[in-house]
Amino acid sequence: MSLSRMLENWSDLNKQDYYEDEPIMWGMSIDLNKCTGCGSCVTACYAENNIPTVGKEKCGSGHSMHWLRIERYWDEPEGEADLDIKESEYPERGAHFAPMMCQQCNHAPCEPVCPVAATYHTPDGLNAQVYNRCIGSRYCGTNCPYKVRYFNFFDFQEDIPHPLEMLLNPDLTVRSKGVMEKCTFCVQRLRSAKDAAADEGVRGHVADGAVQTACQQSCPTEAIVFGNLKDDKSKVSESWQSHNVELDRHEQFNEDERGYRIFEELNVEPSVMYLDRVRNTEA
Amino acid sequence: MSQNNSNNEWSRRAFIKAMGLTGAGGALVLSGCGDTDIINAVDIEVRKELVLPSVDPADFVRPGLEVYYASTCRQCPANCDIHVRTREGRALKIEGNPTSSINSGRLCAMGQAGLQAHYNPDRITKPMIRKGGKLVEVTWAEAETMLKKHLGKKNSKLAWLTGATSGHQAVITKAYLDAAGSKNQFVFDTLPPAVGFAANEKMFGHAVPKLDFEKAKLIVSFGADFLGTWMSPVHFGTQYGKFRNAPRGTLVQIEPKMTLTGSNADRWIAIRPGTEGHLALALASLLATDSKYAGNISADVAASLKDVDIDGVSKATDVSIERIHKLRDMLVSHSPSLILSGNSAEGFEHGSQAANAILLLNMMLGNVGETILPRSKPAFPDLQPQLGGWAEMKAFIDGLADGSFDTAVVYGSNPLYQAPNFMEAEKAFAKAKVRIAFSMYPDETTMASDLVLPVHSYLEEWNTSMPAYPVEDGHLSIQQPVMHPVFGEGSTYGYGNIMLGLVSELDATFKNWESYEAYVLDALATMKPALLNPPKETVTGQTPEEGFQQGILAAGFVTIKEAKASAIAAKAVAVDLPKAAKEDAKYAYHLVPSARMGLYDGRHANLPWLQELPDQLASVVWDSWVEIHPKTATKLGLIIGDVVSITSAAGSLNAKVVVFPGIHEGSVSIPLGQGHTEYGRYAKGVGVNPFKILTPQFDKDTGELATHATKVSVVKVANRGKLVTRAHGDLVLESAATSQKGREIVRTVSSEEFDRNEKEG
Amino acid sequence: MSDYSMKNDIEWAKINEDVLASLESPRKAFWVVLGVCFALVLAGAAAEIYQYNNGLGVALMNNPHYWQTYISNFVFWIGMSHSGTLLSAILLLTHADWRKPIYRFAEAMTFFSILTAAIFPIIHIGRVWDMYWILPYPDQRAIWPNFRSPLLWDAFAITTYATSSALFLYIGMIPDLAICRDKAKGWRKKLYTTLSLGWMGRATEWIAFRRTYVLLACFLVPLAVSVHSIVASDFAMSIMPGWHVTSFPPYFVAGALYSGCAAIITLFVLLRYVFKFEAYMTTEIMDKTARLTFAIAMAWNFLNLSEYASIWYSHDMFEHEMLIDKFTGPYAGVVWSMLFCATVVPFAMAFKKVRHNMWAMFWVSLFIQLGMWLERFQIVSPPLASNHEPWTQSVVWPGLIQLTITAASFGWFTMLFLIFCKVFPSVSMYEVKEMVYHRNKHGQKKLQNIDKIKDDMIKTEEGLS
Repeated sequence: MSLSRMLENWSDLNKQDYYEDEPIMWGMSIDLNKCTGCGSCVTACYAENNIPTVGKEKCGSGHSMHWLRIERYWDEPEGEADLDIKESEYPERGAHFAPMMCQQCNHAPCEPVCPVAATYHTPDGLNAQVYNRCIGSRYCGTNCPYKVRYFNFFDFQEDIPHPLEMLLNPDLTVRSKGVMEKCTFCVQRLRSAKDAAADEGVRGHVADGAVQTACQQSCPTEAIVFGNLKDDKSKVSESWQSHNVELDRHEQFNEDERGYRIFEELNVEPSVMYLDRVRNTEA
Repeated sequence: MSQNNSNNEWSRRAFIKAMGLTGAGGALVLSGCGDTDIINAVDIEVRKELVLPSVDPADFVRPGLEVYYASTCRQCPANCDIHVRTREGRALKIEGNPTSSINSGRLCAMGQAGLQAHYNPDRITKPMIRKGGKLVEVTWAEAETMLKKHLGKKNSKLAWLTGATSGHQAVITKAYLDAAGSKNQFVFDTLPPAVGFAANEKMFGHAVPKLDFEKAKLIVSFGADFLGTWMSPVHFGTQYGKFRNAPRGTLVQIEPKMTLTGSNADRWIAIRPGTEGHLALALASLLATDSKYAGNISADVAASLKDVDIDGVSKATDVSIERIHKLRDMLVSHSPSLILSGNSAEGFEHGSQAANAILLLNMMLGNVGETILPRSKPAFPDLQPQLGGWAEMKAFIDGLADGSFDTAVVYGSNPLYQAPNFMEAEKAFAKAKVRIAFSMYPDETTMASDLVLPVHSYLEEWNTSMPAYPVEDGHLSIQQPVMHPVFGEGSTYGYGNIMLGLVSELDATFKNWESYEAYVLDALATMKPALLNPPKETVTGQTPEEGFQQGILAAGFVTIKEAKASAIAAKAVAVDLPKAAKEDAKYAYHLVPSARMGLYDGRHANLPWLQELPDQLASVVWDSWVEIHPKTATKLGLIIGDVVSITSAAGSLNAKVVVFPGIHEGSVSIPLGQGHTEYGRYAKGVGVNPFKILTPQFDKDTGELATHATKVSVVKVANRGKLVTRAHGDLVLESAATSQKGREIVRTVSSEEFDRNEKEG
Repeated sequence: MSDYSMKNDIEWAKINEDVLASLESPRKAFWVVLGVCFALVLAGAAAEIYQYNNGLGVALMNNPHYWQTYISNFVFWIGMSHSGTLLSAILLLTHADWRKPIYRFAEAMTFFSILTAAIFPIIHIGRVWDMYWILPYPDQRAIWPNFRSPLLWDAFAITTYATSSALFLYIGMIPDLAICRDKAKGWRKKLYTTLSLGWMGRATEWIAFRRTYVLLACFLVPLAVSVHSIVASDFAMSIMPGWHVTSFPPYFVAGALYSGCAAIITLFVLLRYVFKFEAYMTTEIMDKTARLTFAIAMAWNFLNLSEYASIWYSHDMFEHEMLIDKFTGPYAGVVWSMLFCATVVPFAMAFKKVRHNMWAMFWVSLFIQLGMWLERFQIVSPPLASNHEPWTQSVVWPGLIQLTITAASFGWFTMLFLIFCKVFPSVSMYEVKEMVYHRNKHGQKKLQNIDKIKDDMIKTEEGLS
């Protein structure tokens, strides 16, 4: 049945950009000039998305489930602004923080390798993970260059002592042993925002700012901007445009701009743009 | 704990009624009407939940519809305004209140984790009385009898210790103590900078002047971790975000151990602990050569700056002479600037003097009135925040030790955990005839008490409070219950309710209110004329009173009309700093007890989200560690994960080493927050508490404990065993956690380029 | 040199006797080895049950080490299975007659290796109870598996390969099963009667048999190559540095043949000793197997070195770092041991003395297999350890659970294999007879083409049983 449907729609399926006509494409921009690395977003993500805490021992064996983590580096990549730090034995220019979550790639390496198609691309540009379909081959996790997919190595949710389970968010599921999970851009919030818009008679369009991801909402410095990349007037879209970052490239031609995407040279087309960290070289 | 269902039914209905009459309708943010209390018909013993709400909900319950209640975060004294998302009668998520001037809709990790404080599995659910040396669970009736026996009378030997307090909570505590004839009220909170407050008070006439980050072109912070733990981190975070907009402000952080703020600085300067004041004084003396700056302070103070030996300061502080001159040049070229003094500069015997020296720079540079702004005189002084400090803690302990107090009551503070060994808090506490704890958790002090009264979490009780750092004067935050008490009606009570009961025993005027809720709402109604823009009725058929109540509860805070603040009459004080301390051969290293956003001073160690939130810089979770500079580590033959013994004259403790570049070579740093001997399953037995080994040194001016003055020795006791636990596994490649390895994960540009681009953009 | 090659005057009846004796009375060593294997299997089962109940985390895999020894074992055992195909099918098609006494057990090896390999995906995946979702079964909701995923190709390839190699093994065994049927008693009689499908040894039967057998062999050779190419795609189709290598399919096939040959040598020596097959598994055959192994070793080494070269000259930052980490990083011990075992040790086979010494060959083959197991491990783990994202780079060694299950897989394989040898004739009687007959008749001349022999047989009309 679906095979015949597939054949009928072959030309559709064969299109370069299958979701070209969709009104929404979620995207993000993270300003490393403002990110202080405080970790509000990390905890907000735990709270919003029913992420289990795993305890000391399992953190030690690398089983922590933080969908959003903050990476902290001390060194500058080569060829960066000359910050006159060489002579000092202290990191006088501070640390480098990079909040790292699923980049919702448009050429996601995780998608083609899943044997049961448990991870796929939604029309609004999300890299969706269908927990019910996942059989736990973990191929997606090995193939993710950002290593932002987290596998339920244990039945973490079983261990929640009462009454701590009462804070679980009923808008999304708790995941059981043996499935992969990852950042969803708070898909439950996106869903209800779309529904709310539809209730008001606007289908397929969510006003900019009508929905916030949990990390964005908590960020004290407003370093995270989230919204619809296909809406030219949305904040995130303006940010991408003003920094000359285009989605379907593996190399940006914006030497003088601050915008870049991590590992975009792998041609995975991530939907998260980062803005350069800034330091006063005169200080 | 075991509540049968019929009991639950009753209490639920009662609760609905209460909410319906008062807050609930008004508190709605999302929905236009209706009361959404629910129904946690949870049989705790079998851990099965009855799904009544979805099957047959009450008329006003709409399954699946979320409702936001406005309230106040009490996770730290900053008291951010919050919206709590509830569904089916459960608090599910805490967000910042977007209309709040404090946090503008933002919320830090500690605020987010308030849910886990509220639903904590280690919460005490029944009163306990010490019988035969052991705490035994009893009924409330029994506990109340004992409470009345000890507190229902006049007693001048009653000592009362609370954490940072404000609003009507402070008022009712004070009312009780007045009625009971006791003058021994003590307030203790670990992190609010009491020394800095005193210095501010002396120089600017107010302990907490308003700071304008946005206007400042340069912030030089001497150890003030305003992004992490300093007074109001979320507010300062939002300010910092604006400060970094083009034209981008410059941040210089001077401290011995890199804090979160330091890690975001344009220039982080490692300084020898205890010499921050000397550096500030050197800068002042360089500035004083220009009459433009010297003219801002009185002539005698300016004259006292003349004989500062810059070379000597450079040697003492480990900051190069070029750097000192460069700093001076920056201060001159960036105006207005803002100079901040924080805990790591103030935690010494000469802490007040150091703070004076640092704040003096503000005066010389003309920042007063520019980035340091005046406060008005409060209309209701009783509601003002009381943040307390170590001096009060010491007075409390000393009073218990010498027998001046016979009854000790503790609420919202944990002296037995916080106090250093030398204070011998346990011994002193044991001397009291009766020890009473109002507490949510089985912490160290609670477990040493004779009567334990389980209290509501801040999401279950009524209250008002004032932020430690108000953005606008007269900001009074309102707390309201966002849900039915987690453990059911009648197992825990609000502190206010119990206090109201106690005070009305002694003072009949308090009998007018049948509950603390009525008291708070009545007080707010009385304050209506004194408020800025009191809300009016919005729904037809509402009385003005109902409209007001609904309005303030929906807003989550009120603003009291305050007189216009008069300009700061700054008063420079001559600074008297000691010569740099001599090297101590036995205790060669400075101990820097560092606080971080997360575990804070240890009060959040029982929240798994915060235990699992990696340290922002060392990225360690669920543990304590010692930060040691790579050079020092090489000298001592240490690698990451080695266990070292840190010994001061007052004690010793063992922890694992993290080789950490952001610390002065002559210092070691241990984070605060761990080392609990009680405090529930998540905190007990994890890590160490550096406060325990502090040596008895106090600030000479204020009597505050010199928290950063302790010197220690470092001795390796065990080889790298099980590595320090990190967020991403303890089997990390040595280099991986520090280096980007040539990848462009975080790119950096100069602020010049940034400003140019933003202008074009 | 008395046992260098098979005696040409060996009686046909003696062949039957010798081979059938293996079904009766093996040396004591048989029971000892079987016992050890069974114990290993039990230990493995316990480990798997523990892992199943508690979650895969007990195996100490983590992010980024989502794959570890379960995958490397899978690749190893699939590789092992290539031996039988090589010896039976390729050598059959190339008319190498020395394969005859040893091809039966090689085919059995193929089949049991696949059975062993097939266990690993089951152990590896998180929700084994939903594993059938990989198969494209008809479904009301029209949910298909993802045809782009190499893991799905794996599922197809393995099931096809397992079926065909089982068929190949079985069909090649039919004439011998008939011999067994004629001699057996009790339950064996019933078993062999059923399995021999009424084989009478008529000439027409032989013709049909020969055609089927060659046809299957022709089918199996490309299949085997494709199977391991697909297994290689599991890695090559990803974008991980160190995995995303175009030359992986031939490299994997060569590696498979290499480890397969080494395994044949190991079992050769073992069977020869346990079942007293000295008369059939001669030094000549060992010599030839060793030469073949040596040739394949060189091919594999060439591909291995060219893989390093292509990574090095790619000037890709991630690949470079991965390669350097391989040789100097925390897994360097594994890589260097692999190179010693699989690159240096095979040169021992250049010496006749070694080739002709059964126990020396036994140890050489074990070293090679160890090397090839480590090769599979170093394909999986070090690239994950030095992945794109430096923050997650970490070292994880397989824990007790993984190692127990790995050991159990060897026990499982050997156990199945030994039981097979005890139940079925592990030396092909009819082919050995053919060989003896042929060599008797034609002296040292090369074997003539098979059709001619068939013609001879049809003419004599005697059947060989």
